[in-house]
Amino acid sequence: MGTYKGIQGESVEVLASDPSPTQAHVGKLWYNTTAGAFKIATEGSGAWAAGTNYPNGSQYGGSAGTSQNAALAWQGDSDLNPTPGAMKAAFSYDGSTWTQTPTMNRDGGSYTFGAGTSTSALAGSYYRSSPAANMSSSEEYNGTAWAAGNDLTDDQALRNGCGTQTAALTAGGRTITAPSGPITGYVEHYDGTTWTESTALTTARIGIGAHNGTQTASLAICGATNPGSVSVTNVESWNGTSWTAGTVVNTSRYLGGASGTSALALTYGGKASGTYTANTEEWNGTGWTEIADLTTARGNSGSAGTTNTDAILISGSSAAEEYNASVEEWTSPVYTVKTVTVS
Amino acid sequence: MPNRYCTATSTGKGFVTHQDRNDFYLSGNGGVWIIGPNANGTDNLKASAWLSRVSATIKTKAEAQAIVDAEIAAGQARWDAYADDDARKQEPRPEEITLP
Repeated sequence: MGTYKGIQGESVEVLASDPSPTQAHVGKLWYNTTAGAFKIATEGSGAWAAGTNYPNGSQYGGSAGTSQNAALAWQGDSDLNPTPGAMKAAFSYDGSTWTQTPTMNRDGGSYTFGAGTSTSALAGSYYRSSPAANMSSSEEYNGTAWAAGNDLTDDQALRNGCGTQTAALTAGGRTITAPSGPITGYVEHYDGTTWTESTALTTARIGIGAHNGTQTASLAICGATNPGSVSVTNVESWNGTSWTAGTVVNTSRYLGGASGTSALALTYGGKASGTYTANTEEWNGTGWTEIADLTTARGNSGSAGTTNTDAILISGSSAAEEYNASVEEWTSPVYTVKTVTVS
Repeated sequence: MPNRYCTATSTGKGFVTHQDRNDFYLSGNGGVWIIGPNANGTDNLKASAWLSRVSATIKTKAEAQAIVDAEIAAGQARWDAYADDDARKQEPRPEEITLP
């Protein structure tokens, strides 16, 4: 029979307190002198946990960022001022604290999109309530201040966004100020200076899951094809030149969160008609699998994350809360310390 | 053991941890939280510890449903009051939900 030292190459460690578990601790045994117990670290499924609440509930805002420790979000309409498009505040997040950035230049803004990181972000197009208009402007954040960028080609709102501040892509949208305004499959890309129209989506949509991939390799996940709003399961894959119909997700949604790349992605939350979903699905390059649920089903949220193992969902609205300030953070896998029971 | 229901104010970081989510079923809406039993139907002791940790107030299913119903009714009233040219009026009217 093998010994622990024989298998692990070291004796059982004696510690006064448990370490913060990581992959390196999985399978290791130690003795916690304070607890008077043997402990072991295990690896569990990915899960959503509460993050620090957003400073005020906001829906239809924009977001950017690389992870749950480096995100940026800007207001849509909020519980501070529920008029759509009335807010122009933005906040950065380091995993524990939301810090207000200097005020954006826009005169309000809902139904907006974002791209880039928390210190090099792009905020594109928005809906302004008074006087009502879709605004095609963009602006850029450098970690210190917001500066005006150039206008998009079309004045659409409810677009998605991905990529970086100097290599961004946006798809879909519609003219909100005209109730009969058509939903489009318009696609534009940005080089840091100029917005240029590109190959349109095959299926015109609004509220496509954002933040999946780059300007030359991304996914357009779900969305709605009708202002009513009929959500779809469609996924299209972009290779920098053309869109290709991909494997559909299991649960239709629009205005849901999304993170990752075109090869390893997540989509979570969102709306399907008048209801919200908590469903979280993972794309492994081959198929979509439902892997977890948000704690609160919701949509109209901000989201960020460049991998499928670390993501953040920011504020939004749920069935019972029009402005839900809570934040959820996705981590996969989850490492845990467990007490070894010896009888 | 059926689902348990409570109200608790989300305090942000630490209110629900990844480990909590892996230890028991938890779903929230409008300040109402639903806690599921173990797969074998027994009370989940880790869920009980969470209820204590967040100073939850236990509710019956009917009480919890009434809270959610009131929140949704308020949302419906707001939606009804939006002007026809308000962008939010182009979104679906909030629908009732039935707690599991």
